[in-house]
Amino acid sequence: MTQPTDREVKSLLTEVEIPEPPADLAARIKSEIPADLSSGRFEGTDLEVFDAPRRSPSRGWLIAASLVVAVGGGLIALRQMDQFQTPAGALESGVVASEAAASDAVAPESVQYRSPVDQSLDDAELETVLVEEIQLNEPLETRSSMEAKPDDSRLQEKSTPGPDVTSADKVVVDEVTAGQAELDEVSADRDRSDRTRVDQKTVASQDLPSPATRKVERSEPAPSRGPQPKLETPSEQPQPEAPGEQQTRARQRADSTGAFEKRQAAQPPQAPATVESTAVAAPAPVRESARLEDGAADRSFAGARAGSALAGSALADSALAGSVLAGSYQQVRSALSEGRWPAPEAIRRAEIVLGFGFGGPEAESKQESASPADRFTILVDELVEILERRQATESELEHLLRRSRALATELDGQPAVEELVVWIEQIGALVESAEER
Amino acid sequence: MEPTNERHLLEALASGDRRAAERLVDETYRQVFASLVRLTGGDTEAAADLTQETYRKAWKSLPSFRRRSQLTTWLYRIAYNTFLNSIRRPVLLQPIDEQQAVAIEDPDPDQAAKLQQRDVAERLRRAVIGLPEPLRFTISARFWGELAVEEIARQEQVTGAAIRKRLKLATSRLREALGEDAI
Repeated sequence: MTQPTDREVKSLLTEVEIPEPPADLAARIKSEIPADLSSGRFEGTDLEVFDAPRRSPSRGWLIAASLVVAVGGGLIALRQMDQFQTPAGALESGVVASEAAASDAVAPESVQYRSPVDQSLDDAELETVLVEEIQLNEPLETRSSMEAKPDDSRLQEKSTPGPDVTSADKVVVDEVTAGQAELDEVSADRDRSDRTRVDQKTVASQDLPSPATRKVERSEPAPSRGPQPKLETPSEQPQPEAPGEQQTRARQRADSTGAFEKRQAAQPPQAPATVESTAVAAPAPVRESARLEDGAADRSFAGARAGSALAGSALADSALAGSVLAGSYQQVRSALSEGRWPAPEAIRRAEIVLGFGFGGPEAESKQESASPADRFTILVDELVEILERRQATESELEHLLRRSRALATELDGQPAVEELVVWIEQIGALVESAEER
Repeated sequence: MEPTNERHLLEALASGDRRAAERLVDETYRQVFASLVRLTGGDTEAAADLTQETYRKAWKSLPSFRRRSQLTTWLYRIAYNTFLNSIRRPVLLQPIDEQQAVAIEDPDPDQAAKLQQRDVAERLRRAVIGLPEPLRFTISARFWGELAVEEIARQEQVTGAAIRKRLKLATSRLREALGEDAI
């Protein structure tokens, strides 16, 4: 068969024999005419066979609700995972739980300021928090008085109003006030010793001494930073400046870093609880707070782990942070004392800043931009910069030294600034010896 | 249907006149049935069912009828879509399998020529259904729906010349399809 022509195709299309429609077809169609033609609704049920299944409105709501539940569940799961992955979050949640529990039983125990540095943080967070901590660091007297005030904002923030809050607060205030009195004695002694040491330093630094001379000077007990062989109370020792001062500052730092416990552990056993007998107001609550956190962490992770491994790791992180904090400071200090540049990897700004333990006053108002704390931080920054590049001009060092001495004089020989001055002098000697070679 | 009559009929339908709907059925159902018989390849039962379904859909869509085309053209379009939907649903058009076909006795053995003619018609129908959509509707509406070219153009919202071009192209394709089948 050859291809048909167009005409043949058309004739084939039209040549279909059309049979008569069924006799009842018209009647069937008419029977399905709807009562209301304008609305197009039909009578009977045959139409349902051909209607596509329609989605009911409730089905849409069910789908939407399912989506909301799924997304919400996912977000909650992510949040939980974040908390479990970072002990800081876990510790925080544990502290919240413990505070809620403690506020019902003993309200004063929850009235503790817990520094965020107590938690284990990564390096970047740690540095940020430490710098803020240094900048916000008040003198011990100021902090103690703040803690003694029952209307302190931190106290209000941390305390949950319980049934016996008023009486409990009164107990705390009494205790802290008693500690404050003894603290004042320590501060007075420290001021006397600082003045004495400043005089010695001024005489010693009239002409730049050799590194060896400075080394001897550094070996004097006053600015010593190493582990203290023995701790004694001011009442037991007539000249308590070095140990008492160190203890006070250590306490002060430990209040925010948790490093104090680490140092205490490193001390020999013959220097035990004299710290307790100093009755310094700040430290005792610190340990109480740590105990609370410990318990809170245990409670928080009771269901998630078999033992206390996670809480232990959180606390171990805190302890590790304390040891790491002292590491860079100690390494740089010992290297400079030995007349050499510290290793680059040992220079970690945040740790050095914390290691100085600056206790100078903060700015009295926000408008005051150059508070002693700010100026000290800037000086340390410049020092760290010099340490990192292992190079400095004479004028740069002189400028840094002059400002550091001015700050030390202004603060009546604040130990951290004194230490900074010594470091600058040691760096100056290093630069000089390098130039001579 | 005369245009004047159709206009009156539509006005009556819009007012919900049931008798007008019955008159519409009387005047159009044969044409709709015939087109569906051609589309289904002579299956009168399927064509009757599809005709019934076509009118169900027509009643439903009557309020949305915009009078862009004649009622018969509109009905053919509904019938055509209904048929296409039906061939997508294999339930309605079940092909006779081979054993069943052998079992059916041929009432008239001498009608070989008729069978061959029906075979050609079936191949032609399949070729029409196999055309791409604009060509398929155009040629089926022209020859099986017996609609005028201008009426199809209005329905398709194109010019009459475009419909003629489509018809020419579709015929050419069908010719080629029949020639290939012959080989």
